[in-house]
Amino acid sequence: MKKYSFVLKPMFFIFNLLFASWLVIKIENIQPSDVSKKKSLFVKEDIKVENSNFAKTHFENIYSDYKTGIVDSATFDRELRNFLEVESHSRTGSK
Amino acid sequence: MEPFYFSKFESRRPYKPIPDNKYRTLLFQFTGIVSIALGFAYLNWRWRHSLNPDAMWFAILLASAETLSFLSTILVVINFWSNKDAEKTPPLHFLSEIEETFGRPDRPVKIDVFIATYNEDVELVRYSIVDAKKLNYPFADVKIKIYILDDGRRDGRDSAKQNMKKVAEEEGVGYLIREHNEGYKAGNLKNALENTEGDLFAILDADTRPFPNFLVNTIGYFRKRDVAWVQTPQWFYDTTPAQKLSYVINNKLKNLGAENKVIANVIDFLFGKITFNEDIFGNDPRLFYEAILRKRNFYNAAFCCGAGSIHRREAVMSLAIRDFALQIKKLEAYLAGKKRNKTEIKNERKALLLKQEIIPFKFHASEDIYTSMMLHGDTLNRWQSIQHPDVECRMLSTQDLDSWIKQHERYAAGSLDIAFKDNPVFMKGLSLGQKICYFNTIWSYFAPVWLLVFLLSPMIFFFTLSLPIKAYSFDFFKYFLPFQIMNTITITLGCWGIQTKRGDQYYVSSFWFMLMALFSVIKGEKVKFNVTPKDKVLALNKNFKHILPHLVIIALSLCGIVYNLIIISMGSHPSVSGFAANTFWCLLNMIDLSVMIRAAYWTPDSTLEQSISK
Repeated sequence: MKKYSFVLKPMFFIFNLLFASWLVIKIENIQPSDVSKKKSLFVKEDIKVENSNFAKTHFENIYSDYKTGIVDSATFDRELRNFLEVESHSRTGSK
Repeated sequence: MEPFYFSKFESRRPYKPIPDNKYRTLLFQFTGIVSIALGFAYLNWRWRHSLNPDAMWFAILLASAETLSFLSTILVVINFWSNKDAEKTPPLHFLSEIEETFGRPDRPVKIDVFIATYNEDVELVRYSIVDAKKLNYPFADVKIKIYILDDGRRDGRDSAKQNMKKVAEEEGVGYLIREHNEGYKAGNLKNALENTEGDLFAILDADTRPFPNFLVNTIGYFRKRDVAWVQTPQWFYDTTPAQKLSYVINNKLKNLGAENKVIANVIDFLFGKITFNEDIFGNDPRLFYEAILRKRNFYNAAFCCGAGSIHRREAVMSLAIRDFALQIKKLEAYLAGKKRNKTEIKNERKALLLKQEIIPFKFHASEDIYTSMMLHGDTLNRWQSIQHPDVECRMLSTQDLDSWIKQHERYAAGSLDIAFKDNPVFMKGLSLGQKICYFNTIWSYFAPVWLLVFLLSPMIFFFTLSLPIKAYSFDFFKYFLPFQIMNTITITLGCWGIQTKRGDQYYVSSFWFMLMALFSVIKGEKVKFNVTPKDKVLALNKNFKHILPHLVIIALSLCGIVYNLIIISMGSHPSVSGFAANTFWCLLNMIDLSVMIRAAYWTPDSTLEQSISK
């Protein structure tokens, strides 16, 4: 086993790079509306909007963020697409 | 011996180096990589999504400053990547242990100790001589010779000057002078090497007082035949001690004639652990020697810092001879290009041989780092350097702001001068790690460029009401906070066990003189070799010019905050969140800048014994 100990450091380095990349991607996908309305910021399943009341509030949040200049048009467009996608999934019952 | 201001600090003992820990190193590497990744994500967002089109010049200015600053973060992570202390070995005895004798009869090694001086009080130098005379060595036949290298020519010829030669004679040590000051300290050392014969030599400054085991603990490293020099940490034992809050307040009350022991006791009871005024001039170099330089052992890139170092004569002389030969070669190539005949070339070469000197240490204001770079880049010998972790000598720090700034201005200008004239990045012979480490040192002196932007940004906002980013939105915090938090964790791990607060404050507070140093080098001005005063010098009037930019920035910041508060109270401020964020940055900046202002007006406390000595 000692013979292969030289691979530990490169593996650790690669793991660090992969973890750092994963973390960056996850952070990029966090939306303002995710905060405080999800069990965890990193669990994908929680993106699903639970009920229509919540969906309405969520939509209002996105719109008010855009209106007050907190998010730009590109972010607004992306969030709107995400929202509509999740909405259509929740209506058809698929994930 | 004559008592000096530092006599009351004689009982201070140096710190012990932080033991290496491989798990901490691994954790540092992990957080370092994550920190860099988060930094890239943040800057990607800054450049692609956050620039405010309504104030594009301001947006690009700040984003550029942040990008330059981020490069420093990457360089620091690389610098701190790993620790590799050299193996300690017992002191050596014979010449054959450090070099090939090539059939010559073996003999005990010869060690010289050089004490370089220029204009310091001769009685202060006497302290260094007395301590150097107490140096231990386990082998009686190993000759340790001490020499005073007096560049001030204080040999009694000028009655207006103190007599250094007399002190050297009284103490029974060698005394060497020269008739000019060419090459400053490097020239002084060159003169010493021409007149001595030690195989190894230690360099001490006038105020450097070695501990008895200085040589015992360091000479053994030279068994490795490629070790060119060993640098020990410089430890200033006269930095201002910490004072309890109760003591500081009671002292103020005393000045007002309202001293009250009850108040002092109550403050002591409530805030007993809070202390002030420790190392007021930010002189403690532990962060530099223990974190930055020690970790460069990993890349064989720890450079020499002069005082407290031990050198192999063969290394510096081989460098000098190589340079000498290069000069001859250059001349020959030049003459051949001019189509001169063989006799002419021979004559010119002969003339140069007589004129050209052999220069072991580079004649430069930063001769230490420059010579180190040249030795590291010597492909023929592949010299190694060692940063020894333990403190082996004590030194005096600058005692007023003007001297402190002159000293650090020389470091900055010297390093920048090397960057413009002989940049290590393009130097052949240096490894990638060495190039990065030297570049890191040089890059740190470009810091005023981005520091100035960071200091001025809040003011630009206060008076133009333009934000450099579109909005302090969720996106800003989601990118910025993880990066900042991870960066702080990384630096904490990298500097484990070492106080960085004062260093951070002086890093910001030094922006002005470093900017001036940068301008002077860009203008092509010759870097002056200012000898650092080792005595107590109090020149409060001189200090004002150093803190004027700080005072202007603080005053403008306060005006800006008041102006914005008025606009907010009228209900017409375009970005209250922008005001909050900029006020926060502004306050942090003011705290950092105030450190130098306080240092400028610092006077020693006559009742220092009441404070806490550390």
